[in-house]
Amino acid sequence: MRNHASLAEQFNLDENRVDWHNKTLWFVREKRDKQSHQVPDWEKLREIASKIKLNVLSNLDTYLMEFEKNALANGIQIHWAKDAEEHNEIVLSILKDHQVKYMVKSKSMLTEECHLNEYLEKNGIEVTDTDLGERIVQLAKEPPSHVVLPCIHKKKEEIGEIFHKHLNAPEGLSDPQQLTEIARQDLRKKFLQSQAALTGINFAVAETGEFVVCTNEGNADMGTHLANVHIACMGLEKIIPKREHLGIFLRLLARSGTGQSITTYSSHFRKPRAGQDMHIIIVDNGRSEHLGKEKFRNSLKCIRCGACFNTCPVYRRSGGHSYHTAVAGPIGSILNPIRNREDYKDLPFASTLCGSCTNVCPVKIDLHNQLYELRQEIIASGSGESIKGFSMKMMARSLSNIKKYEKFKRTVKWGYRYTPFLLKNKINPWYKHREMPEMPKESFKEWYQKNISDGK
Amino acid sequence: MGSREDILTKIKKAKPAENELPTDFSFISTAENLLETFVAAAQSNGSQVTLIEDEKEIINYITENIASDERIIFNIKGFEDENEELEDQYINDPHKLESVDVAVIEGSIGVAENAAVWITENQMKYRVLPFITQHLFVMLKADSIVPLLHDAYKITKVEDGFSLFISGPSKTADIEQSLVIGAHGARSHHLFILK
Repeated sequence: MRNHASLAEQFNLDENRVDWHNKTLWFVREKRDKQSHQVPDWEKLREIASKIKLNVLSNLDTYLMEFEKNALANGIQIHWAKDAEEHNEIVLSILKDHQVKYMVKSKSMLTEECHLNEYLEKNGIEVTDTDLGERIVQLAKEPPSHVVLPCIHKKKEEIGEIFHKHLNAPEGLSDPQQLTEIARQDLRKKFLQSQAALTGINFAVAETGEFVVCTNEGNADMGTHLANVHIACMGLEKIIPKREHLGIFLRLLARSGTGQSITTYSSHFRKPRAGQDMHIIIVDNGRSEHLGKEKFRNSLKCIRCGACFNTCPVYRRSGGHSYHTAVAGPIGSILNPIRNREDYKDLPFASTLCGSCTNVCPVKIDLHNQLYELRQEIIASGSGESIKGFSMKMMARSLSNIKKYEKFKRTVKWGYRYTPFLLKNKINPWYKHREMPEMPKESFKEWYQKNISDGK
Repeated sequence: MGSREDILTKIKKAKPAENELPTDFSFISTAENLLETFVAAAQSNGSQVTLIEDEKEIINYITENIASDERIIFNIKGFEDENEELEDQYINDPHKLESVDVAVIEGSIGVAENAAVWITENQMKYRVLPFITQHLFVMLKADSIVPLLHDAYKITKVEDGFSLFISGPSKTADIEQSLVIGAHGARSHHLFILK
């Protein structure tokens, strides 16, 4: 079965890669710490960002309508899509209207969620991802493994091989500078020939009808300012009330995600260029339903910075692909099962519940609490893993009755002393990647009765 | 319009009770000297910084450092005659800017905490120019540097069709987190700060 545990097991076969992946992401997490400590009122920033987003959730419909009204007045065309299918159809119909054959695309996790590339390719449109990391995984025919660092799982030698195979790069190249230059030259051609450009949206401002796209590479802008058609896709939670709020979110976004004080380019699109067609697609795809779930609605505040990925001990050691979804990591482990319980019920268990994700979240999503709550719901609905269900039941039985517990304890102790292989084997899931503890000669209770009850 | 009504109705039913919008946006700046803080931030972003007394120093710099056959576009008021012949066709077809080597534009607000510079559509003239050019030169008046991003947003105007903050050269760290300058946009970013 394709679930997080089995996919993580595959990733864990190569221990060196796991160590390397872990360290690379921890390096990003440390950069985030350094940046956040340089802002004296970091906690106030987080608090205000969280409050603005809560206000957005309370007024989501009115802000969306205000945004729509202002964007229309600015000459932008607005579309609404209830699900991924409708979103993809809208994109295709715009492209068909303009007889577009080639489209460049800047990073958008929403289009990954909607599987747009496959859909467009099936319909005869060539899509080129232009963010370097996304381009690499696109050439490798893989999905991104991280929302901000899409090819963080790949080593530079592997990227060299991909470029050799697809971009005529010399064999054996692994220098990031040279590889980036090859991609730059290749993608420049794509930018110049594309009739349409698609981008995501980081923030849509209700007050002004504008939207902001943040990149370090400048790929979104290279695409949109050359193409005659710009399509921007947003999940409906991306709205913020006022332009002045951008000051809060732009200070938090890059610092939390990559440890930069701001991204290189923070582009504010308000009106199409003369002669250009600009479209915004506002996508629901389960978000309005999510909004109604009180315990979990807080996770709709997410601004997709990726900080919770970088800090998560499970993500760092299991790799993004083990989450088998567009948005991986702790936040993906909430958003996906809420949208589709059946396919993603394994994800809330891909967490140590250590709370590190909650601590770094710039908009104060209580990630670990929501993961815990989701587990309760999944277990209660009977769709948990049967082996865990069985052992939990056994545990509950022995812990609920002191006599049963004493008997159980003696049996285990005796058994462990003479037949340790019964626990130290591959069948015991707890033994995987763990040493079993040494069994003490006497239990605390025995020690206590001997030493303390004597009055010593 | 079916989906629009559907979505809005679902949101209306699902949304939580009112959460108030915060109003206190006063934040602490650690910058003791705005110019110094800005310059340090710009350098750590990978930008070159030159302090100048007069706009003409940019032209001198270009004469001394840029080969004469390089294509330069000068978008600073009063220096239009430094330009090659610019025709309106560029506005209609931004692809014609593909071969620009150096673009010189003016920024309107600098932010000390992160060296981001606010540039409006009027200032860049062609939206794609700051990205498609190989090297970007930005002139900024020292007295237009503000401490924090919030201060910048208090004075930005919204009438432009496209405007942005640029904080350095185009960069990426997508390959094993090694920082590479010069991804798709300008390979270098040179700030001329007019005292």
